[in-house]
Amino acid sequence: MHLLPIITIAATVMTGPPIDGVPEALSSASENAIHVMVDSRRDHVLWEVEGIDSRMIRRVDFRKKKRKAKRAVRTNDIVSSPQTSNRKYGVIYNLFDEDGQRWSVAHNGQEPVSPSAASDIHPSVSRDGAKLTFTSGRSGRGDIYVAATDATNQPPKLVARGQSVELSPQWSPDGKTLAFLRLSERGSALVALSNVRSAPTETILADERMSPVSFSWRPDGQELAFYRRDFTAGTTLNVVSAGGGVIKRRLSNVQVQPRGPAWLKHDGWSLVAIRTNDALVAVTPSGDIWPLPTHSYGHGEVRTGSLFGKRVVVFTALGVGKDANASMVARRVYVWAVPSTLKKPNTAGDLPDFQ
Amino acid sequence: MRRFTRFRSVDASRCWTPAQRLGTFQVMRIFVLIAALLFTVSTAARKPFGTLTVVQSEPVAGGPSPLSALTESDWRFVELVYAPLYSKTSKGYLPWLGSTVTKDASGRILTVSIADSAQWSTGRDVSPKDIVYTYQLAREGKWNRAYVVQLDAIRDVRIAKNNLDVEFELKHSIEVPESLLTVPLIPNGLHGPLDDPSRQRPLPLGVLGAGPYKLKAKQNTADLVFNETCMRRPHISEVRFITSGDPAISVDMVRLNGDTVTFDHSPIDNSIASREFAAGFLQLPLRRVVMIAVGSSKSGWTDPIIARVVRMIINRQELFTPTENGKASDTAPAPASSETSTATNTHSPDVNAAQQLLEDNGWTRTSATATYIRTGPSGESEQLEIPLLIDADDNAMLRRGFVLRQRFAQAGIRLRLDARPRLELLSRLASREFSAALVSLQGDLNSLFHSKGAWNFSGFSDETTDAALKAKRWSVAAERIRKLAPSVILGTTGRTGTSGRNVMVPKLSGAGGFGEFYKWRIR
Repeated sequence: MHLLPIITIAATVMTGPPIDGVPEALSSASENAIHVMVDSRRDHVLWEVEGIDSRMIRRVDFRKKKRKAKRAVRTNDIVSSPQTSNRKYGVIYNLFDEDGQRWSVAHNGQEPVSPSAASDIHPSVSRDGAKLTFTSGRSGRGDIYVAATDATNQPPKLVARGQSVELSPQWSPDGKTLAFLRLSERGSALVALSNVRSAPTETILADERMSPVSFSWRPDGQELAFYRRDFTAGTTLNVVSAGGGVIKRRLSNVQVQPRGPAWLKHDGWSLVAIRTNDALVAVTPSGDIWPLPTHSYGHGEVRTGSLFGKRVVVFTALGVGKDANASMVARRVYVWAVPSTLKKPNTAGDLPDFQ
Repeated sequence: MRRFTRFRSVDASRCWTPAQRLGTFQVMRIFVLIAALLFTVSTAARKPFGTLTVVQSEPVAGGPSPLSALTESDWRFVELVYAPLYSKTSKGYLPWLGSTVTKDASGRILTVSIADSAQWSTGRDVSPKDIVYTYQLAREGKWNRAYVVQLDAIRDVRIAKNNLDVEFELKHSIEVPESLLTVPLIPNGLHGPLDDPSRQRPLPLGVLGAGPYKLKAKQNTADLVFNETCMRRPHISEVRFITSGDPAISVDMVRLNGDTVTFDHSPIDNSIASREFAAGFLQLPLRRVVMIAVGSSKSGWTDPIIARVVRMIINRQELFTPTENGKASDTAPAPASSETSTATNTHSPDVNAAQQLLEDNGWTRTSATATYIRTGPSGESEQLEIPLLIDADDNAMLRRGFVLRQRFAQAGIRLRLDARPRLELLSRLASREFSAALVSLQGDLNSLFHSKGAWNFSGFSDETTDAALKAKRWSVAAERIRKLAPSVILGTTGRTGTSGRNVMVPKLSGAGGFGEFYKWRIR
């Protein structure tokens, strides 16, 4: 498979949607890219770049003539966790204020919510861009708050408060339910909070015995996928219905994605994962494992989405093909448009490398 | 303030000292206030205060003891709950549960007396029998071999004739006898009876130590409270362990909770953490060795030609990123050294020479697979493929594995990565039944390459190396190891962590980085 000719298209020369089945590098080889995401509404790909003493957000706009990575937020402060909002080209992000020694949620340099002495982290914007949720230490422990994105300096509403810390809230696609992680001495739990505006009701989707690490909603809101890190059995990728119930293990021996598992519409709703042997695969609901022929190696993170209506897999990797000059230190961002037909999975044996 | 200004403005020209300017009554009031403040501070300082949350990726496995601890979180727990006779600090060895140690004329018999107030957290006195039990089992190294090299000089441990002290009979006299006495003590019988090995078990029968903390409730290893009977009283009253599952989440917890620390490696967030947490960013002097440990199972790794080829291909520089405090090196650090060995990676990779060496030894590169094959004596062709066991729960090590695999592929060697869950990896390392493993160890030249070393996976045994290590001739030992050992040292990394803004962190210098935990404070 590795003998197939590989074409890596340099950034800044392409226009229009990515070509099917050909990985295209978006970021520079000199910058280490992390926390990649796809904004399908605006055909953007965003990621963070970490330096020795800095962090910035870069963005490629696929509608522009030249496909060039530019700074999405013009500030010299440390910024992180970009989220798209309902303002034109607006990005909500986490900003570190060195004077106040705190993280805040920011939008064009302003805070949508009233500031406190504590940090506000893990911002998440609803799909319609109107609602914001985040974790704040303003109540002393780390609780979940909600607010509108198009206001400034508003008091946020406390919606979830537990004995320990609540982290990583995410809106469901319909914007009616919140899911978040609750950490305690016994481990972590995945909790869904319905009727957020009126009478919030909590449902535990996965308890401390599962100890989910990160999760994501299926784009139609019917299920959630999460990683379970079990140091005795390896990390697994699991799926649970949005209403709770039986947890199904979809795949084992996978690397944890800090922003949750990536969903792909392929043979039903598949999940894209990086396995511990570095293979980039899609696993279908029936358990078939489809290797994604990106010819990339040294994977870091993977996300999915659509650009110009095309299904894309966006990932960070050390290199593609037989690039002997790959830096081996910095991971670049690659976009790979999913071909209409994928090679059928090898049913004879899953990952012979790994058995 | 207003009164002071007015007073000064009136009498400043005639009053020369602050006391004259303020008047005797004012000075006395200030003295009384300062004395009251000092009294309050000193009283408060004596009372343990506050709850510290320790966030770590890995869970603590059911109450480990010093003789069964394996993971970093296990050792953190051990250092909070258990205490040794003597502890190694930045000021040298200080007595803890021991009070004196004396040598006889030959220097081969040490007599150690136990401190009068040495007690287990239940209030029972620490007895000589407990010490004998701990040291006999620690010398055997049944479950983690953590103290085997350190205690190699001990021939026997027994209760002294006065039934109060303990006698250590040594094979030879040693300069600093306290260095043998740093094993955290466990009570007699914790792992089963000493005289019946068949009934000894790795899982302790409970948690009972003489350290600064004890369990808040039975069987709950996540909540600790200060141990009132401990001879070194901690400043912090409670410690709570939280398992986050991921280093990035651990750092987020520190951001939100001021009274929180994490010792997780978090290369992704290092750049931010170093700026955000400033002085609260811990960088422990203890370093970890990253190496390809060659085990006892037969494979290409034990073939001297392939071992040479591997060394020629590896580019150590690309295996360490600047943000993870990594440093490429081809030797392990010397014991008790906070720095890496002076000899760093001086070899630049030479793939062409490596391929030539393979071809000179009967290997042929195929055009179909671009890997080397060789025809065996029976006529069957053998592909040049070597396995590498790897920790599936460590992203930094996975990245190194992928980089190595790519470099090996370019040279025509197939590296088969075998990623395993952490506990399985650790148990396989302990059994030594593996071909080769990419590991990150809190090891040094002694523990990795002494014939009785705790992490000597390949069973490397060389009298000259042992003698050089014993004589502390580190460069001689390193050179000898470089020539003989099939294992490949890749470099070292510094352990890093982050502490919250309300936590005062003294300099760390304990055996596991946590040895002076009792000095920590919450503001």
